[in-house]
Amino acid sequence: MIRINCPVCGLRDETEFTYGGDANVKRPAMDEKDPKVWMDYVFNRSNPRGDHQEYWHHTQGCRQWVILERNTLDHTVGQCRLAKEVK
Amino acid sequence: MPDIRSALLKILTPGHYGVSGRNAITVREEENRPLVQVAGWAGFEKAVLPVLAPLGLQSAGDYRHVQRQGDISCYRIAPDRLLLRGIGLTAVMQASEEAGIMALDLGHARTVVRLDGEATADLLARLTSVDVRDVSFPVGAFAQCGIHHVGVLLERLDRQSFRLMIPYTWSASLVSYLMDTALPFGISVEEGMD
Amino acid sequence: MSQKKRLAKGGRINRGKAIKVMFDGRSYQGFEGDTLASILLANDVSLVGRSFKYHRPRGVFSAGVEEPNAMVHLREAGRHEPNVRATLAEAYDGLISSPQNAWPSLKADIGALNQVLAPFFSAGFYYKTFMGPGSGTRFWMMCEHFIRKAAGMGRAGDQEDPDHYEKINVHCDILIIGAGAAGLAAALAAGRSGLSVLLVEQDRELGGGLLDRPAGEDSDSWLQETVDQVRAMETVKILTRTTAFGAYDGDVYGLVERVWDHAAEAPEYQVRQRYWQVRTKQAILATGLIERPLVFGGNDKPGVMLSGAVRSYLNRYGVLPGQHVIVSTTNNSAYDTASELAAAGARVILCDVRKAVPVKLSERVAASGVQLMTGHAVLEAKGFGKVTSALITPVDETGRATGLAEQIPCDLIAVSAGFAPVLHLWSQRAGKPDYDSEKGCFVPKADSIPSMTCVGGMIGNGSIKTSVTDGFKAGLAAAEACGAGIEGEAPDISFAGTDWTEMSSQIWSITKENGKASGKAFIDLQHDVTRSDIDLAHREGFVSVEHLKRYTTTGMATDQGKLSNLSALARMAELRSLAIPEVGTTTFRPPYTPISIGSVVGHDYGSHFRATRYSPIHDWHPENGAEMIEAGAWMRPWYYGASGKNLRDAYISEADHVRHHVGMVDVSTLGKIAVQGPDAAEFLNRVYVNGWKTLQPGRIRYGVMLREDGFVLDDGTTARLGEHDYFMTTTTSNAAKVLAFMEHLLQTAWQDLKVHVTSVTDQWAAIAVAGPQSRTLLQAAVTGADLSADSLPNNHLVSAEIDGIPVRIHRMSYSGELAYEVYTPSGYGYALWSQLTDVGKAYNLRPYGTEAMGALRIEKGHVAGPELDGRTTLKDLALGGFASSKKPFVGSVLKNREKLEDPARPSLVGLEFSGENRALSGALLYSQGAQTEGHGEGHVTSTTYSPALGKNIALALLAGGADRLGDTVQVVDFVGDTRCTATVVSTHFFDPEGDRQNA
Repeated sequence: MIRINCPVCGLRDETEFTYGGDANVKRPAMDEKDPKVWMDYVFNRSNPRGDHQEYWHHTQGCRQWVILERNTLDHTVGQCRLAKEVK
Repeated sequence: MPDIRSALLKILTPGHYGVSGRNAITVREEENRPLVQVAGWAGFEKAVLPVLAPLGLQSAGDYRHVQRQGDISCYRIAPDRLLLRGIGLTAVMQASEEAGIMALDLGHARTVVRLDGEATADLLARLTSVDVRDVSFPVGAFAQCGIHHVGVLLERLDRQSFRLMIPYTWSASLVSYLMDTALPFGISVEEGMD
Repeated sequence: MSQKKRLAKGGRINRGKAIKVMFDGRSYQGFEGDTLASILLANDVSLVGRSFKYHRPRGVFSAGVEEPNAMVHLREAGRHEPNVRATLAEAYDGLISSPQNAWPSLKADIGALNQVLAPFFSAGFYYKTFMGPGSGTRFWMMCEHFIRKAAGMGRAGDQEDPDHYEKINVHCDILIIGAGAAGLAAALAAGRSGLSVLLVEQDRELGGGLLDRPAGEDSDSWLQETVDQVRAMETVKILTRTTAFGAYDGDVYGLVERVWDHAAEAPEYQVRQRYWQVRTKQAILATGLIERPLVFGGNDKPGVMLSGAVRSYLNRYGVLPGQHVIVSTTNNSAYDTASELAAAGARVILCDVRKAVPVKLSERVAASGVQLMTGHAVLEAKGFGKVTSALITPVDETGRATGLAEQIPCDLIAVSAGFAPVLHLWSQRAGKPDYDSEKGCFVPKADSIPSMTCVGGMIGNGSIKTSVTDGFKAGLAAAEACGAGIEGEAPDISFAGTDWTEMSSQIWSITKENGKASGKAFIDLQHDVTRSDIDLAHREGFVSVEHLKRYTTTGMATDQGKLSNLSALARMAELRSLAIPEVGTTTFRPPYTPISIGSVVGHDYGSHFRATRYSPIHDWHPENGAEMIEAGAWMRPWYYGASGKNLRDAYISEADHVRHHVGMVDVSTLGKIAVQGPDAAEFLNRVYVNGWKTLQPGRIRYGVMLREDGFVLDDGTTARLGEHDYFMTTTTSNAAKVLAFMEHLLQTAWQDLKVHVTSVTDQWAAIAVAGPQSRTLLQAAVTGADLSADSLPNNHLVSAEIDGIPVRIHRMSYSGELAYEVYTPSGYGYALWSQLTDVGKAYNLRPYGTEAMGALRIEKGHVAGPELDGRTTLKDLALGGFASSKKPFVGSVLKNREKLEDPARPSLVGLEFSGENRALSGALLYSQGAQTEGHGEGHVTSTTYSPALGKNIALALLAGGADRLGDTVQVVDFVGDTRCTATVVSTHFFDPEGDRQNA
């Protein structure tokens, strides 16, 4: 089990969170009309081997979405930031 | 107006439960108190001050400790959200509107349970993965955490005294789970309290 | 004679307290402090079980977790437990146990015939005989029943377990696993820091290997002193009878404490076992070693035991398992066993494969009267049913016989082929270990995990003194790493042990001059894998260790190869002419030793399998005859018993009643979300497909949401309560998903929007009142509001009171009738429902359940969960008209993907059946005359009997459905094997103009 250092709640078990996928993708602007751009956003992921930024939702805690650095190879976790504080 | 019906009416019947000769856990439901969420946006810490000042509170506080002022408890549940217990919607409504902050009545949304006794921390270790040791969770601390995969708010009132705020519709199931877990300690269920 | 192998004195058992245990229908005497295995040995019970495949007689082989043979059934009825290692079963007065894998009895086991058939049961027997093309699979199906009965381990219990189990979460600074010399020294150091320390020991006593040394030696007094000191430390918590079975990411460890396994029953309300989930900052692993057996012919016979186990039975339990003992070793450790056996009165021959041995050891055994034969080993154990003699042969440095074997009578063969460090927990986290070719064992890689330190025997260390020093240092270092550095000197110990690593040989098996075993030589005792099985696998090309393991099943039994791993690898390395590290090793995974399902489940079973949600009105429903049904996490009234004698009668009656009179249904389970803030309208405009900028306060609008990929996510209504204050409802099942999605959008891409979304599902109870009489009834019940059609048209809301209860009345319809949703704060929900029941008596009000609610919505063609299955688009559901073309919204671009626009996609249609014909949800649709094969042209989603139409109807998704009105289709349910036809019709079965709800 990984443990996630929620900026609001502190160090918590992964079981309090819900995984939210790759945090590197950026949602296109609302007025974006190009389907290709949207396809990239919804479907295309780089799936790196090693350090990765991903969304986790503290569903059973403060209900904040966080961006967690996790190594996909050895499961070590690094910095954890509130998504809303990352522009 | 009728009385507010407890969600635990069928769950908590005063009496002794579990191992005989021991009452290491006392379970009581606290009577309903007003509960309001105030929420804002960037600059919330400053914007909320006019709402808090009339309540005698000087700041939004931190994420881990309850602020108390008289009957009022203030929990910083997110960067831009506070939960105020002991004060109703109407009391904060006007100040909130002027401050551009949203107030939301949650007065019926939580069942509040008080746990007392020498084994409360031991019991909680069986219910939540949050570290409730004295050093990490001192008196006055609170945490939003999962019990049986439901988000609850846990608060330490005294060394052996904890408060749980459980979503109303989950509370019967969760308190029943809590009771089953507490049987080895011996439980005294007491009448509801103010 | 009772306990004829028990010595008159000695051991660490409580001779003051005699106990009796049952095994195989007979009663045996022992003492408190015994294990089942030590009692059986004391009573000269050599035959304890039958082997897995060949049903060969087996006896106690070890004294610990590695036991491969002495597996028994423990206890009876609900407390029956299979595959218990007798070496771990703490004996208590009245313990009941029985052998497993033997029929009709242990002594006359029919399966033993398999020994004669053994050539057929070699490696890969099952694959070769039963798999593959042709008759194989059918032959397996024919034989499976008999094979399953004859093979295998213990029998699982079939009664409910009456015991309690629980899970506990623990946080500590330093976790020390293993309380032998190294672990105790670590605790001694770490405990001084004042940090919270958890010391875990699988045995019932602290001391580890020290407990196997003769009682009363210097080591005993050191142990006693150290244990006293550690126990006196307030911040050190000691858990005995607790196995650390798993090491996980995040420095989380899984332990199982056997709280009351050492008694017949736990005291009332107390748990039998407790699952500890430990989160620590630092861990010190001092898990020790497991001795490895020597592979030779007949090495599985009762009477062959590990040398260290013999020593344990002698010194810890006061049992002398044999009088005429041959010890066959490759290393120094067996010299302790040999000399102590001799001192206890046994005649001992010590065979050491090494030609040269340390002088101090040879002198020591000579002084105890042991006959030492260097350069010799046991080639084969002889005897029928148990060992009666051994062939002893001179061997070369590879373990091959170099001369004639001599047959020597004996009743016990004690073996040692070195030790395997218990690096399982380390490997679970860190992966593959290093091979120490000096010592001939796998060891943890140094410093591989900063928060985990390995000390003592488990790093291949053979000296107690070093273990104590290293353990102590590790304790200091762990404290330092936690920010509480302390100083101290490791205790100086006055005793020494025999270092098994010194000059140890690397011979794993003893063979004849031709390199073959003399008789059946077992590598994996528990799974009956022989040396020749490995050879066969090699000849057939299975060279990877992972393939070898699966093909021969070596190391796949409940002991997971604790004894056999290295022997198998060594043999494969030999066959491939490689060094052992080049062959590699398999991966260690949790659990280290088997754990019970009960311990992991804890309280989470039965009604607590998961948490349940109850509506604020819930209690009324069962009090008034409702049959309840699970809907996601919720319990909902399905139908009311008063409505009919069964589900069908009841829901038809309830739905019919709503169409003609008035009914009410508890809809508190709807997802309710407060959407607040100055940008709320803009936000709604983005998440819903339809427009929201024009919705006035006091008005309600239906909306549909898409996912980012353009498929439909959910539908519901949103009411505007105030300038910046909206009240959204979602379907019951999608509430959590919708809220999390909206939170994600607001906290990531739409940080600029000033909007908060908050679940208010728990704040509000909700009652839908529907039927022609609903307005009349509610108008009679409320004060402070005019509900007339002019004042409160459809999709409007008003606040009012009902008998002093504050309510908000939303006029909207799901049933197609004139209908209202009445909201009140949760704590008043029950009172409101009761009040409406009272007032409703005059208007013939009846409650209805979810089944009738479903019937009403299907009659109206409204979509719900079965249609919103994540694979349907707006067009598929004929909701395309809701989508605004003037604004972008979530999914607005991707919903137009070519494939999603394909008119041949299954789309929503109605089906009408004639007569008794009807379909079940999930039935497949085919054109008339088409072959009913494959996936069909669509499927039925929702079905009901329609009281309004007097026939069975359904909603379905049918390929090109929009153009097929009037067609006849075949409806086939392959599960129930029912077939019928239906006519494709519009989904608006009833009142298509909507006159009734707009009344």
